[in-house]
Amino acid sequence: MRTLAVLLFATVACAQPPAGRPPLKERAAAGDAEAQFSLGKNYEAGRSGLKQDYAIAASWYQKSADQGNAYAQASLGILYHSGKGLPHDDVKSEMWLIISTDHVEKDDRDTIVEMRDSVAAHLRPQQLAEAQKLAREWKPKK
Amino acid sequence: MRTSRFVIAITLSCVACMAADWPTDGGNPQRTAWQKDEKILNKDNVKNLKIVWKIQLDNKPIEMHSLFPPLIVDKVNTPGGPKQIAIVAGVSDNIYAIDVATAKILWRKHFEYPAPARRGRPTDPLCPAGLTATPVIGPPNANGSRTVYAMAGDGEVHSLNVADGEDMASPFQFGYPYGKSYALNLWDGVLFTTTAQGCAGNPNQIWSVKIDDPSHKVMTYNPKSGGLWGRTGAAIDESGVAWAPTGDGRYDPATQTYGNGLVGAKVVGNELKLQDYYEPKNWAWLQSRDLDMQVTPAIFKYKGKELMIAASKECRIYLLDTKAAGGDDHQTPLDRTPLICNEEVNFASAGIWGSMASWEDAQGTRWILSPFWGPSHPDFKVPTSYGSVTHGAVVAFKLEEKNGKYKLVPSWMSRDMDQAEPPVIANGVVYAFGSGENTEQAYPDRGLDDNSPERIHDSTHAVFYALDAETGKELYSSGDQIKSFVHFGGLSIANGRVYLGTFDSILYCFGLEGK
Repeated sequence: MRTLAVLLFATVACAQPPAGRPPLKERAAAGDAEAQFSLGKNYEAGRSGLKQDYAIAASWYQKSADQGNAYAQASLGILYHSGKGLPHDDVKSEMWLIISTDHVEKDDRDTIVEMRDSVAAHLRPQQLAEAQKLAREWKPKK
Repeated sequence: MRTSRFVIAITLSCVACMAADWPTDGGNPQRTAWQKDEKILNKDNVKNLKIVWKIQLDNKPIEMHSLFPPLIVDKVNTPGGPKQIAIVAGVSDNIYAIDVATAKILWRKHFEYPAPARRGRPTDPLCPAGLTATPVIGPPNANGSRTVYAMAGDGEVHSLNVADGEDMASPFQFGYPYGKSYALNLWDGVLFTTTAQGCAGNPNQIWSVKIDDPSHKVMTYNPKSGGLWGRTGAAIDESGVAWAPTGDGRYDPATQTYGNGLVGAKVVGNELKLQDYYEPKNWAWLQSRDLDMQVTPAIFKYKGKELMIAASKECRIYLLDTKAAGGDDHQTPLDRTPLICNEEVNFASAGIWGSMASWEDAQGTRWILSPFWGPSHPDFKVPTSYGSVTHGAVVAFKLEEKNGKYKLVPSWMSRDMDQAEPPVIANGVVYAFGSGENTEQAYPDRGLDDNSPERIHDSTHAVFYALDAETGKELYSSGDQIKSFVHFGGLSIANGRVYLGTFDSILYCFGLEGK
């Protein structure tokens, strides 16, 4: 019984966020772009006690991407391309991958460029031009 | 006439003496999965493969695990005369020695021990409570006896005589109880294993122990990463460096943190020390999307250099030099392929999993083989393929070098296979299988719920294939003959027989009638 109590305490303690740090959902709701990306990823993978939900994942990626998080921008591009949680839209996919390419750290750039070019290969010239135009016009939301 | 008789006699005796073994997971310490000494099976006769025998073993599956890849030793002097023996480990702490000629069990061993204080969560496929490391067979001793080293679920290594299962030495502690050790490897008297998933509180690291050390001091190297879960553990290069992939985690050389990479550690004195490492430049992306490097590399010689191939769930292959993995900055491979699969960046059911393979043909062409799960990438171009790949396949590259520049050139992609597993190669034939395993880890109604009962229920059955190693063309398929799926099992090949154990604890032996 004592072991059980210790175990229970340990489990509850482990489930709490580190002292002084609000839970992920609170940080995401408060506008923390990194937390929003992490929450989107958890919804996409169905992790951390969350149900797998691509649409909710996309909405958190969107919030994070709007603030300029490059991983969220790439992840949004991936979901637009696969049509999971969002209507399939390769123009928007390409737009977000272009934007991500411009924001991502140098070492990750090749990977995003590869995905960007892969989606671009499926677009007609007008569609590609449209995606590039949207990317140029995109501004982060404060 | 007398001369020709003499030549025939010599030839026959040489054929007899050229028996092949498969003493370790992946065939050799370098984990190439290449059986160089196969003389019976070839690309002309494998169309006639059949199940020459199958044997139901009394091993009880735990979670999704059951039988590990068999080890094969020929010409073992047993009380009943010389025999070819298959040593098979089962997750319920069983070792079986099977007479390959008759499919009879020669001896079996069941390891008993007090229940460890900690164990994995019941129904968790990641942490089965039992034996998880494929054993390894050592070279012949002065008397010609062979020892199989097997680590029980409590982490003790048992040294058993292959001929009769008797203890050759006292057991010694090596691993962590229920700690999920991966396939043992043996190099110059040192045993190696790797651990992952933190099962029962076990740290994720490379482990080593000198067999002849009376104190059996356990030497470890911890890369401060996620699990080192390459299927066949560590691969060992010609300098004795054990190379193992690392799971998700950060890369920070200042704090010796090597997540999402490949680390090489070597026994120096009585310590296991980091010798070198490779980190993909996009390690942060890999970490952010859970695309860990977790594939046991394959190591081979090529034009005087020792090279190594590694891969990740991202689904690309890296070519590295074992003497300077990743070059001066540890991040520049000799070559890396484009994405082969996993366009959707799926963390659970796509990408490259398991281990790599490599062989060299008679013309000196070096071939690289990789299994992968999920659909092939729409932009991956390969000269020869066999229809749409949606569930997985084996892909082959040729290694080319020009003026010091190395290139992995796509050659063929196999037919679709349901979760393609690591292949083995022998005499111009690639043997592969789709595991039929359900690999889902998350569900819309529950989220992440990686549980064995559901995955077992939703798994189908394995299908074994023989492919032309130069073209990928299917030469044989077992169709529906195998009745269960495979999780963490694998192929072994020696002397005209190919072996595969399934979840229902049946060991299948494929071969030719009368051979």
